[in-house]
Amino acid sequence: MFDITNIIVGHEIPEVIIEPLQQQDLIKYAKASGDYNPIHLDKNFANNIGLDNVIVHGMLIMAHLGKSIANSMTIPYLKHFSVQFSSITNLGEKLICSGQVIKIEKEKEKKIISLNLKVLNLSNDIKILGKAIFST
Amino acid sequence: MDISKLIGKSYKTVSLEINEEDVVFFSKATKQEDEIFFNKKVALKNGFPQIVCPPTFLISIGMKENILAECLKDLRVGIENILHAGQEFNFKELVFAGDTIFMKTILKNTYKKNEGKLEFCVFESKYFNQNRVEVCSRNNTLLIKN
Repeated sequence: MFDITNIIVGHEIPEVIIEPLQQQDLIKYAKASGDYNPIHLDKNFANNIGLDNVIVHGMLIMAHLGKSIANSMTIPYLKHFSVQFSSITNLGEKLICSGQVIKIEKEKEKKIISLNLKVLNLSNDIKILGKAIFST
Repeated sequence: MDISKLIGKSYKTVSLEINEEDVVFFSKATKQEDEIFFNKKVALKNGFPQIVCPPTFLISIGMKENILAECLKDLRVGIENILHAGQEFNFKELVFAGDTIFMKTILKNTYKKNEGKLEFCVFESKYFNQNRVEVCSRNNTLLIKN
């Protein structure tokens, strides 16, 4: 489990594996988030805009990426979490979330910890590039 | 259409009382592993007053009211013409099951890349809790496929 005490620049956070997501995972996420964009749910809609099938919600992947940084010990200190969506994710793709501490600054009594995050598939295609900042 | 003229446009304030079942369902749908996100006993044991909302949970607020549809109507594009380019959360306070959250959204910025072929717009949503304390601001960046 990721912990921000006693970490140093270069520290790599524990990887989180996203097992291949299937249509029922997207339906469940649509219900949970309210994001019913047909590009994630309707194969015919996806076909009509040139895709072979529906694609995974980027925000579902971001939510999984959040598991790698947010837990009972760290979430009170999480101040910033951002991503850029680099490429689409198809059903059945296995993804790996990882990250590294890139900067630790001291500001009075506080410690500001910055991380770079990424989500890749098994072919090393970038799905998400992200950042997180913690302030103790 | 010059969408930059719409910068500053604000959308109706949405409010939602976050019920425990919705947080638990969201946490299960996103396969959260830390039990503070779905087990009240564990959350309390860890010093939190209630089940903690996972970092991206706030995305679900305003979906029922379909604020996005209003935004797209203003931009005069269909949902098939947009891609989600980025998402940014800036957290100020934790959000818990039982909180009532108010969300206010504006079109914060628009910009172009690749000699105008790619056009982006950034919607900013600010979230306040029942004590009128700002808990989070979120920037949602959409790419319009021209």
